[in-house]
Amino acid sequence: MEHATPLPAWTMFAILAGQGIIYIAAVWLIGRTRGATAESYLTGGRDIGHGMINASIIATWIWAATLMISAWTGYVYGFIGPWWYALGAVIPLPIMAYLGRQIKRIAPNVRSYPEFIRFRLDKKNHLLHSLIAIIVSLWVVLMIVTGGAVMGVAFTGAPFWGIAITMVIIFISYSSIAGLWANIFADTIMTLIMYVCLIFIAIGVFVVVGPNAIYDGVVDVIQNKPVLQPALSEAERASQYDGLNWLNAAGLGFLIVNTIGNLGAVLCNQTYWGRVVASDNPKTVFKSFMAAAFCWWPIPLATGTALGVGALALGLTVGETYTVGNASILFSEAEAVAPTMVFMTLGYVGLAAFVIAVGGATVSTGAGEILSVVTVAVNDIVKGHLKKDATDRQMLLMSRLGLLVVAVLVVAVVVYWRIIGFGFAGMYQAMGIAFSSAVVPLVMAIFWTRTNRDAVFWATIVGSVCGIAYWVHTDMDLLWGVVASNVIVIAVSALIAIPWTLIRPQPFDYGGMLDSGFKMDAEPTAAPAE
Amino acid sequence: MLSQSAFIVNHWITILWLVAAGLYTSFAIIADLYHAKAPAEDTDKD
Repeated sequence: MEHATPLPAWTMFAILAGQGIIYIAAVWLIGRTRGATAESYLTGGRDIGHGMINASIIATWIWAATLMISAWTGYVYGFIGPWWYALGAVIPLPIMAYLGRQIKRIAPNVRSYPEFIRFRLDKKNHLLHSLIAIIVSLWVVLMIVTGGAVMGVAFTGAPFWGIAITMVIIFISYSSIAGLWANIFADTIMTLIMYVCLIFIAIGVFVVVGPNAIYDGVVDVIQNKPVLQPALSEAERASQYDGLNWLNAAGLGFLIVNTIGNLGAVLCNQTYWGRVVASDNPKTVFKSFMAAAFCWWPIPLATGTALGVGALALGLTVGETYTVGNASILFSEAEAVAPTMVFMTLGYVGLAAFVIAVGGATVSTGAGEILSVVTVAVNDIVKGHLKKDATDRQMLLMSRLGLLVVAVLVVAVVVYWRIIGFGFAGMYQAMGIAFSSAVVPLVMAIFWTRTNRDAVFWATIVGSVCGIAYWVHTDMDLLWGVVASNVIVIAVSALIAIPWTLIRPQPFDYGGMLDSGFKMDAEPTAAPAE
Repeated sequence: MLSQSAFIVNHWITILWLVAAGLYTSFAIIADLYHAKAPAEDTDKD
């Protein structure tokens, strides 16, 4: 019997549920005591070593987008696309190594990076960064659920909303048992599984198709210019006909967007700060982020090269249905090039490996991001502003209920965006405009003792407003409009914060921050900066 | 335009790097488990 998709719908739910049950059982058996208090629930115990932290950073930074958009860049920009994608995405990790080590040294008791801002800067900056941290993590989880569900639809034809709901239920299931430690533990298992699957796929395409055939195919596309994406204009397709040029112009634009957008996605994301908080010492933080950069880079690089450039070489065309044996797969949109290519070349075994890898990537990141939203909401908004006398028990209860509330919100937004046709690639490229204005102020707060508190506050707001205004002015253009907007966001925030601080410095002593942090059953021990 | 030989080298790099990263990550986790079993003198606070 011929299917419109290569697998029946139930397999998607079976794979997700299988992974979910494994993680729930493992976390319950090994680490449920980590969820006994709000402190250990939100901090993971602050005693985790390099191996698990390294693996967790890798798993957290592998999204559905890492596998699907990296392949898309190979398909659209040629061999250099995955290099630009990986470079732009990996830059924040070494930067995070320095920032994380610094915060772990000077404020080892905080549970979130906005909490650090509270004691380093002031209340208004704390509230601003708390909101940014919540928006960033929500944005990321919306993107990964969308990406994972798009893949599920392409593979199995299961309903988009059904996949989204199943994923989110798994996110909150094991997180609710043991919080941050559960996230990191499950990430570790997932990272190993993902490496096995992706190495199999990369080597499989190498053997089945071969680099010589891929090269010849790309040369053929360059010479004959077939219409592989019928919905796009000729100008938008031009980069696809330049697939062996390492200076591919549109690919370079994507590098800028990716670099700036990802700075915000990591540096202003509590999920990565959570790994800083959970690690056992500053040296572990530094070593783990550096090693994660080295270990993460080849994942989109190899996946994008094998599946994206491979699909370009085979001339896969958006809108076409491809048949392998008795099964067919519809290449519905360019962002779904990875699942189409893996099935075309490696059949059901490759398909299974890719579904497991993307499922693991989605679950690990999604669980971490949802917990981060809750961590900042409960620790910084509730404990920091609304109910300063909240007890450990109340915080723990709010954290668990918060997971449920955020899960419902995520499903509602993802399904609504799908109904109105909000694009996955658009979501990714628009990301930098929304919140990268906070990057320069954050770095200044961590390293520059003379940082002016008003300067970083207004730099964050004005930078973001300027970038968004320019993007709207370009009718939300997803090519060079988004590139310019990303540059404007980060440049404006730097041009406000740095000169203002030089003119009106506000000296600060980091030495007084050692005991900083919201206490569960009392007021902060160190006086917050005002 | 990239030559065929350079393209093939590029392809090999992507795969070998991925394998090396997978091996490093696995050994780091094993080392973690080893230290967790014998935590005796690890007081290396930075």
